[in-house]
Amino acid sequence: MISLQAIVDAVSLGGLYALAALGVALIFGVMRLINFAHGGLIMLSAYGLWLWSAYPVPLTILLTVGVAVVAALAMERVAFRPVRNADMSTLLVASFFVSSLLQNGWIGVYGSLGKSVSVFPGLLDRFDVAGLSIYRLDLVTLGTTAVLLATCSLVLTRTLIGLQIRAASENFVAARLLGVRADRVIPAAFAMSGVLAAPVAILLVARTGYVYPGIGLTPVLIAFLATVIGGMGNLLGAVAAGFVLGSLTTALQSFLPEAAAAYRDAFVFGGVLLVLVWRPGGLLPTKFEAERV
Amino acid sequence: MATWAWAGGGAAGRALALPAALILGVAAVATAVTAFGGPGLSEELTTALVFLVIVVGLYTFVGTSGIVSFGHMAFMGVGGYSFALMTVPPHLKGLLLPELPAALRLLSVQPVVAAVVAGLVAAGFAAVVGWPLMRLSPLAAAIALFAVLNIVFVVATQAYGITRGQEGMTGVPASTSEWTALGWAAVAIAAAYAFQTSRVGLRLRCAREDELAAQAIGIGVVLERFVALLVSAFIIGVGGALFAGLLQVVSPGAFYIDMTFTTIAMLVVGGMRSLSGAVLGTALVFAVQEVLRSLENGFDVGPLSVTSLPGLDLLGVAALGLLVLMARPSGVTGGRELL
Repeated sequence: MISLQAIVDAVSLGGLYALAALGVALIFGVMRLINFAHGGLIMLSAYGLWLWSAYPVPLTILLTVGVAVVAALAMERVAFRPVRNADMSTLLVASFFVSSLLQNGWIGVYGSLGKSVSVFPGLLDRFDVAGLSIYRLDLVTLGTTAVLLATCSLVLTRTLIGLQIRAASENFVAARLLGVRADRVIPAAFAMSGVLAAPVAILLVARTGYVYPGIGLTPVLIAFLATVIGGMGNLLGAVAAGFVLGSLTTALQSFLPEAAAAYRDAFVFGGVLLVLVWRPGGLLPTKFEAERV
Repeated sequence: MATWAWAGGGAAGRALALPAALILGVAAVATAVTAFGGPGLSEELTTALVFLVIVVGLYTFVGTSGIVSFGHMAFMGVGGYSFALMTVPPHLKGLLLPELPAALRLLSVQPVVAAVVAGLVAAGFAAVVGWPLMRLSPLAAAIALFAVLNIVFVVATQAYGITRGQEGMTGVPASTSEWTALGWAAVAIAAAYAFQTSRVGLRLRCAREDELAAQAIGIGVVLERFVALLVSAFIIGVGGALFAGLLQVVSPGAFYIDMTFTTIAMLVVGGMRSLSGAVLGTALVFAVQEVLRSLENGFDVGPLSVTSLPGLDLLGVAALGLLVLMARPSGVTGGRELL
């Protein structure tokens, strides 16, 4: 039953990556910003977990989500609104600076050493179902991902602000002409990305029990790659690509020979590059890529 | 047009005026620092000049193509490790890296030659990974190059038998003096200028402004980007070698996120679309960083005493970079050359 076990692992990790990718893709949709600072949000949430781990669990989770949302809104207001109309490269660089600001600000206050956190110790227990030994954490990850993705898709399809976010992603100028307010959809997208960043942090920390300033780096890199191969601006594509990358990572983990296992992430990145060589616009290209001579 | 034919040089004189002015300016500052700064500043000066080589190399690609690459420090890493493998004395290599193939172990190259070869290795690496990536849209290319950097980082951390992983490759002979670094900075500036005014460079800068219009007049973009990538990878590879010769050690952390961040900040603050911007930005950001680093170990503000603030230099650079992006998005030079 190794294969079934591998599937559970793949979906669990894929869910984590999908959440990160959706957070990045939402922002890319509304303002063409590849938000490097999404990793900063994950880091802040993770440290929130460390700071507030003594509180009751629901309160800790609430505070962790809160800190990510507030930070996301603040970075939009302070850093990204003034450069909103700049070209995409400038936006990317700005988010890189914001990310460094958050990370080094944290290092300045609390130092660069990692902290160990045991928030939900019970989550690392295993239990047996039909001959399969499953971590409780994997189930929680699956559940959280399913609930969050379902909620996001409901918000995006059934609410006014969701409709506006999708309209803005499709064509920002036309959406504004039809009465979509930029100062509402962009902060709304940032708030959603904050809500999505916190669970990534919580699930990551529950997995590793360890918080360090660069904790958001790998998830954000995977999220970037997922948005690119998912077809830039394609929310569903980003989520799907997140699952693909998670599955690829798990597959490599179990099939790579011992000596090559340490290079797992390099193989994942290399695989992404190969996909891009094959399909420069991503697997599900959007109109964004369609400009041709 | 006698007005710009200064010093009787005509068009040729004008063409050489900018690189000559930049090189002379850098040389003048370097000489002044050496003459008046005392021995303590010599290492800082050398570091600044090595940064200058790297940032000018980065500019050669980013400035001319408009693709803000987040992965170019991969070439610095490749250059640095190549340099170390060529210059660490064979007996030391035998001790540090017992699994190294004999041919590599016995290799011992003069640092000057090794730096050039390191640049060529970096350019070769760029040729292999870069060609397919140049077809991507600028933003996708930036992300893909970042993935390349991460691949190099993972390999550098894990391939213990060649790189000594996180411990870093020690025993690199001290070979980067301020004058070596100054010489290479001059070469880098001259090369970057020659490239940006060359036929390929002009075509690429044209495509940077409007890719569609450029394609419409027959500029394929991919080949031009590729040439820029090779030139910049060579310069940055040499920069990596110089850095290795300065610190006498190569480790994965030295060419990863912080280095990427610092060099991009230098380019952005100066103005990433002009060579003058690359040079000025390096000087400006480096100076700010040095001041902040000296405050890092604690300082007094009136009655307040701040004990220690690690990361203050990067924090300050990030804030400076953001302010420049907001107030003057095209950098202090406004994207123009000084002359």
